[in-house]
Amino acid sequence: MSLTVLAGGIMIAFGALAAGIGNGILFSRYLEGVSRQPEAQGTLFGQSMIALGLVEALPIISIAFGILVLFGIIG
Amino acid sequence: MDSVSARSSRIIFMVSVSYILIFGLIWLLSPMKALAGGFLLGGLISLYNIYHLSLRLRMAGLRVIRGSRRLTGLHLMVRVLAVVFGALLVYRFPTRIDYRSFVLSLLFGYILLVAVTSFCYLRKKTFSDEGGETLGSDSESEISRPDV
Repeated sequence: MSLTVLAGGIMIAFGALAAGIGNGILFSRYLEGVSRQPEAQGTLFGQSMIALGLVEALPIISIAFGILVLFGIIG
Repeated sequence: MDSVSARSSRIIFMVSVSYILIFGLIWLLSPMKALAGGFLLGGLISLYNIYHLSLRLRMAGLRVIRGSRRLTGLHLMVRVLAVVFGALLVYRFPTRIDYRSFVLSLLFGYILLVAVTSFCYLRKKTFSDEGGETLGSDSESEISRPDV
């Protein structure tokens, strides 16, 4: 197994792991907030979207780079 | 949906439509088809990702408000698979889609989302809806006593 394949696999795996953990924490807090205070759903939605966008952008890029490395387009 | 969310959704929609139109025209008319194709594909996938995220988040919130017992998630795997699909297209058509512009433009939707929504929230905080006055000034803020 070449090191390039290993690098691509690590990038995809850790990217997916990071996105899953970050999204899970944020989503649970959002649902908790909505269930405690349903009238604040609009405000919580906007703030959660900002946080989810920040959390999810980097793992998505990492996954895209990982796939390109895996297929030998980069590296 | 509150006013800030509605306004930011409108702005994001207009910017994304202009992005698609601009890069579609560049792809159609200019000789830089590979570069424009990468930007177009990455931007489309990124915009799909943020619209899908918004839809799932809103559905989950409404389901909690309705008191439904059915579990729901954000469907992260769908968005990851959309990116995988784009990367596979880049792998399949390397001469027609540039991989650098594809990876760069994957960030477009997320940057747009964070920038526009933060801007709308900051603007709402700075200018109150009643009189357009700025919060944080000494005399007109909410913590000042009305009798003083």
